[in-house]
Amino acid sequence: MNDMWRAAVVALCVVLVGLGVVPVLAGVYQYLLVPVHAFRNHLSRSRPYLPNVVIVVPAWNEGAVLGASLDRLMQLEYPPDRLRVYVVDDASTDDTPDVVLAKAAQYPGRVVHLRREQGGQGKAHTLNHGIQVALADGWMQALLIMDADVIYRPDSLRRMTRHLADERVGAVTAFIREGSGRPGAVARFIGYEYVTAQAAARRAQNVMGAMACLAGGAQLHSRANLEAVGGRIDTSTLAEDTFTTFLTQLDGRRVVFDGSAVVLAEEPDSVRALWKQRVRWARGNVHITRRFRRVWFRHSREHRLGSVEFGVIWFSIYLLPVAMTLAAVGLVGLYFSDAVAATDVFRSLWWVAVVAYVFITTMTLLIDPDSAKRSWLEGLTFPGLGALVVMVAAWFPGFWETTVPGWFGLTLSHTGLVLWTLLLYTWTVLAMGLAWVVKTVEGVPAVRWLTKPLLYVVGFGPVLCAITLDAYVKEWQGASQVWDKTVKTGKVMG
Amino acid sequence: MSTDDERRWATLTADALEDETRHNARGERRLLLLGLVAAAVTVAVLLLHGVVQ
Repeated sequence: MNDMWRAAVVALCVVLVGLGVVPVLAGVYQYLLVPVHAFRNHLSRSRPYLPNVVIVVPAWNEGAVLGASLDRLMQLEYPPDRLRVYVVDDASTDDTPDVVLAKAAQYPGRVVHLRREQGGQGKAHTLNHGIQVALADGWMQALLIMDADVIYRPDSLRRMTRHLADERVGAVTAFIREGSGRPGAVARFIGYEYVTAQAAARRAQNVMGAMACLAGGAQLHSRANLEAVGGRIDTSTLAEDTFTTFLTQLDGRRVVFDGSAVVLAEEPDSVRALWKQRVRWARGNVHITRRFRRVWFRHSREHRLGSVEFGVIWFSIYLLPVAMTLAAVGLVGLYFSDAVAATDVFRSLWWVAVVAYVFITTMTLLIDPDSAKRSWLEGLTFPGLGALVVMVAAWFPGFWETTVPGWFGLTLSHTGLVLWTLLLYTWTVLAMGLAWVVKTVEGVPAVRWLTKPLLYVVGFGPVLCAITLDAYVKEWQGASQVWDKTVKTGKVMG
Repeated sequence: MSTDDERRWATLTADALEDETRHNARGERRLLLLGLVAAAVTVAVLLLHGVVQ
């Protein structure tokens, strides 16, 4: 290869690695906006407001969790005469109708059982049944959509409704905290992830004035907003909550997150259940990205969804698996074209990653102490023990190659050094591959015990990346859009 | 936040709800401090790395 070609290859590889840094910087930028929320939040424009609220609970075979959820809704610190709960029973085959009818008898006029005889069409259809009934009655001033397993804290609803006193606000969402009584490893990882994705990211989105998604289990709409978005939830995507969030903002109304309105939810506690749930979410995001393709990076006076900062953050998450892969390809390409440059670029890339890791992890653990108490270990190992080994390799050159073998009187051979270096350079891609192994191992009884240690080695972040990649493949293959319900067992404590 | 405050807010009077909102706003201001702490920890790690190196 002549010098010019070599320089071109090196430059291309550096650019590829640079693309891998973009999501990391976007994550840091988002976290830098969180402290700004201290003085740029919607609380100053809220005021006491307790409208007539209809709560719509979609339920398909939720007998195990509904009783507790409905009891907690009835204990909300909210005027009882301004609160009605419509449970939309999606042709359940378990004891859901019995549970709801018993609660309807216990709380006459406040809990209503709505039965759909044709079930299995998905959550959006079920919600639309309840919304249609609520809108047909002029009594309703605001409508709360929740999931059957979600437990509302007594003060949560009124902390949401106060924002609707500002007519520019169309919808409000709360902080969904993982609340299983005895969470396993996956649930604890989700607990930490929800602090990053909700308590932190949605505060940053409040500051930006553009909200990515109303949480499916806690979204409050004003009547005006519901009517303006067509009086129904979109049924053509797997991300009906994100779709409604975008429609609300495109129509010029704000969507607000209130981190002090806390609700508790039971989340999947196995990798396979998580995979099923998140593939659906990620495919939904593909639909949203495609459907609103004329929104991205286009300035509008009506909304901030087209702002550069929101677009960069959205696509940083959307294309994270691609960015990680490109960075690994770039590093390997550099290694074979200019090994010295490869070392420098590798150290720079992971230097940024270490700084981002320390800042983001510290901030996340501080934001929600309750989650931190349960999930501190999962927070520290969120990128995976493997990624932490790579960070050490980048920050302390020679530590793994020379220092550690030296403790045992060993020396790494040339071949060993080459393989080790390539392992470090390609870890971001290998971790995604190993995530598939974690999922597979969980399905084999003889080696299922390996799932947990492997999960901590691979990390939750790479597992989410692998799931996103799987969702892209399924979309590309045109796989059918099946609404796979996440099974809940009623483990939430709070 | 004390239990007395929570009980008062639960009365749902306008005064109580405004007090609750003011309390939540103060809670949000805590984020500034958290940001500074996180930044300080990050700088400390960088300095430590510089010393070790």
